[in-house]
Amino acid sequence: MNHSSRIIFQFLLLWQLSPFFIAKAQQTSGIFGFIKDAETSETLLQANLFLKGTSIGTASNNSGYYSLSNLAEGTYNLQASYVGYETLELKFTLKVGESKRLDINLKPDKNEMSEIVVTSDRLEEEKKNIGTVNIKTELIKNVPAILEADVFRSIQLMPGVKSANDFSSALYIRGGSPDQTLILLDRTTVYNPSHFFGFFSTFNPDAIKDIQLYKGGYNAQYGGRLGSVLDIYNKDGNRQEFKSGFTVGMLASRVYVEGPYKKGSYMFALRRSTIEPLLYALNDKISGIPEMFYFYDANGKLNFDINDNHRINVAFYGGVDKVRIPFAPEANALLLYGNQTGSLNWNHLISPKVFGNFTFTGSRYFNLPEFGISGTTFTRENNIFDFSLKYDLDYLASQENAFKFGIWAGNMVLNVTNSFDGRETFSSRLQTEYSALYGQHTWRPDNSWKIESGLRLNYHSTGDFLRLDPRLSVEKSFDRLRLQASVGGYSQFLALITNEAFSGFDTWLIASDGVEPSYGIQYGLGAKTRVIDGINFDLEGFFRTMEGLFELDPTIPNPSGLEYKDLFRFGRGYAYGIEALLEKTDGKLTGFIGYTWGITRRRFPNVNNFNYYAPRYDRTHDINAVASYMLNKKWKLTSVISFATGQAYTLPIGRTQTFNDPFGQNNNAYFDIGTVNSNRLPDYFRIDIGATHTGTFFGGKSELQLQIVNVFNRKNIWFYQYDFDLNPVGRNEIQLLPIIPTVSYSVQF
Amino acid sequence: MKRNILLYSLLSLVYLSCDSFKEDKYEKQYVVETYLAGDEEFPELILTKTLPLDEVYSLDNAGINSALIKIYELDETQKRVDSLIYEKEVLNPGVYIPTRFALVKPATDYELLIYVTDDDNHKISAKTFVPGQFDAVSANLDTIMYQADNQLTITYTPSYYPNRQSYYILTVVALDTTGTLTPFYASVTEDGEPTRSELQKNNSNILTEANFEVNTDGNVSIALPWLAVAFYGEHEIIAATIDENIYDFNRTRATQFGGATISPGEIYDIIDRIDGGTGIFGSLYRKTNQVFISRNPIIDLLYPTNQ
Repeated sequence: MNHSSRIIFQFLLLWQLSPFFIAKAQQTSGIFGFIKDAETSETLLQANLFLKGTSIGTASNNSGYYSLSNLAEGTYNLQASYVGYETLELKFTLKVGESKRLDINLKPDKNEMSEIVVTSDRLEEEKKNIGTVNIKTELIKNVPAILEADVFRSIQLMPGVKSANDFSSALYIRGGSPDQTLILLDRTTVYNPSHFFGFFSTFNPDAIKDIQLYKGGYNAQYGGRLGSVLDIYNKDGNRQEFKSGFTVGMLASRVYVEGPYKKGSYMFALRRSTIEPLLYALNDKISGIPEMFYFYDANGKLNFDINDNHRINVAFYGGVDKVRIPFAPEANALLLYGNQTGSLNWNHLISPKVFGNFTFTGSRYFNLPEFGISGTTFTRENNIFDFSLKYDLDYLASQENAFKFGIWAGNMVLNVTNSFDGRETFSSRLQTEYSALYGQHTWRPDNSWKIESGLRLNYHSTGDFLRLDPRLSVEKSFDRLRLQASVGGYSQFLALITNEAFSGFDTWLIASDGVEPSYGIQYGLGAKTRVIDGINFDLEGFFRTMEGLFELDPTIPNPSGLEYKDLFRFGRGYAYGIEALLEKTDGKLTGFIGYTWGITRRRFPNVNNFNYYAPRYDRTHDINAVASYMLNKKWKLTSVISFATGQAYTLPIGRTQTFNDPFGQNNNAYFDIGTVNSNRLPDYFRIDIGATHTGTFFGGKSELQLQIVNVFNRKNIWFYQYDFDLNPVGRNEIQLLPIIPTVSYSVQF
Repeated sequence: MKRNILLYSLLSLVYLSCDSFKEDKYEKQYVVETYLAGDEEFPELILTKTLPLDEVYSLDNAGINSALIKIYELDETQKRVDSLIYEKEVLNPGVYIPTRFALVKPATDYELLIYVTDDDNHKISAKTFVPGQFDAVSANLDTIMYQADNQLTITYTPSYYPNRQSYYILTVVALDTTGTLTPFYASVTEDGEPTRSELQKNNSNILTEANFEVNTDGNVSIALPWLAVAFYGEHEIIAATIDENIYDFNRTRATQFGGATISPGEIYDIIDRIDGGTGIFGSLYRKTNQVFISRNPIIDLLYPTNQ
């Protein structure tokens, strides 16, 4: 950090800290504690609390901790709510200067056909900030899915989130590519969150407690990505009683156990592919079927409560995909990739107003493809090792002022080594120390305003990059309506080499000398309202810039001997759009309709004459309607209707060929193209339906799910493939998924 | 007033929601193709035009038959010091041949100039620098056994190219395609596809000098990968260094049909370095060695083939 930056930063730090000292001198009352599930004692993140008859309220943090301070002595009526749980009301009394510990336990709302009791506007509206979505595991498990319930595919239904195609679970959020979303599992970065070549994600729905998606405009607590943050927490484990369950599905099966022990709890969840018998049966009949294919993942968490104020947990994840395909005699491919993450977390109450969280994280991603043809081998080794320490401090000074500070420091090593025919042809080892310091202030000058400002300072030693990212969001509440606006700067130091069709070769590269970090500014506007009880409507608009994008140049035939910076192409982009979400949250029929209108563009040298063009995943209109209907206590029907205008593609406008190519076959044809990706495929449309029957199995609760994906077998087009063996050139449509029935059976004990 | 504002807002939204790019239509482009090889005769030049995808493509339809063509030799200051005129070859549409015998000089700049006379003298121009000469100083074997531990390795002197390392393409040409295919190529041949003539020549991808062993004397040793061998028998091994035009043209043409990070359906432009047209005005320097590749009894046992 240079001298002037240090001075500026110290000033800002002191400015942020000053109310702390002022507040200390006042003697007021307050309540604090944790909000938990009454049956399992799982902490509930971002749950809402409100003092009835006042405008005082708050939300629990990502550890389930809340604090309401600077209250006058007296008796209050507290209301606490969380989606999927019964609203709790309880009375409490405070004396002068009393700080009362009040842990709150909410009961799950088992009666899904009941009406939600509306308590207050503030309580309901407190939930969502601009650009934020909270995804429930029930949605993930219930919505019709392709072969396996999947976290990412459920997220793809949200407005502002798009998928590239039916085969990919990657997230394209607000015009950004998948590497522009930071993915955290128990505060640890996950670098390749996909199984089965990108078909679905590595997150086991049985293991997950909470998913928060910040589509854009995320606050200073997070950083390192231009676009979005997906913050996922695994369950802590049931602290009241032992629970277990299993699910048998067509692609994979899952099992989990959780329960209490001494002063804590545990959770373990395992998932493994079960498609091998099918592949074995097909192996002799169809060529190209893998000789070996499996994936598995394991999640675990151990929690230990040292006392009421100190808790420790250790969490881990490990997952592997392995496939061996002998595609011809003397020719085979072996693909091996996976992730391992681990974290040690200590959260502690320093005082009723001050909550701290310390985390040590470790993350490893590896990708080791090998091809052998006629005794000639091609191999690649790509490894990422990322170890870090984080400390976050929440200071809930008063109803008007809350502060958050934090530091994140780590060491990352990225290795990429290619070899051909036994000889190393490319090797890159980059090691960077990185750190980030942030401060955030939430100010509520009165009942209707909320202003959140923050600064995040990022540093990467490789390249000696120092970047300052400011953040600001403003919210104004009216009766039943909240208006929000945000603006922020975002830096990114990593780029992902990937292919929308296949994520098995994903490789991360880092900013370095000659490769500056990317930077973007995001603007957001939003309006959220409760139309009538149980029906919410959100409208958001966004605009974002992307400067200094760095991507591996796809036309580089061979990286050997090139300087690191010469591997890349450098460009820019932008995206803007409007998102609308209409949601019905209670009654027999629940669900939502999400609509996105979005535009995204890129510009790179040697592409499209350096003019802006649409990337493939640019779709102008995107609508998803998800519905769930409780037929009766035993049967639930679900459906998803998806419609999107066509993806961009390049239409060749002419053809020619070479006749005397010294390096090719005769008559090597190639295209003359106009504007890159200026044409649109036909619209995409798909309907999925499902039915779930709830029953019992040896004392456990069972669920039989029958689903049909693409029930009308619509032939959605993925891309066009050109056949130059025909003259004139032939064109074939390569289609996306046909109709697929799936069945799964789950039991919980 | 409020109704008008709402109407204009809705119309703006409809307008904005329409795609801002209009669909491209076919536009004729002139296509040049010729490759100058150092220390070899000036080759023929083919001049055509692009055709729409829905038309049958042939030289008869695409050939351009009325053009004035010259290739100039340039000195270090880019001044023209010599020229070679091309004339239309009598029989084949679009084909032009040099009017006199001349050899392409290695490590030399050349400029191409074309005027299409029946299109208002439309001008096409391009430049190339022919890679410098190199020699094969040694080859470790003239007969090798397929997939033996000892690979064929040929050592070459360096080939000069300004401001960058040399780029190579290796080509393996089977001189006898009536013989037996190696196991991998036998296995990928089904019902005569691909044909033996299509398997006769195998080219590597563009390889940089850093892929090979560079010896202390600056010479480059290149090992022949077994993957390139489709037949047993007599072969030509051709090592070629290429200019910037062939490098850009080949690597961008290859990605038109897909690439590691290119999404299906996304097609990029060719980098052609030709003004007033497209195609390739490229140059190379090449050396040829011969080797006999014999069968390996162990491989024959593991992968018997009759093809």
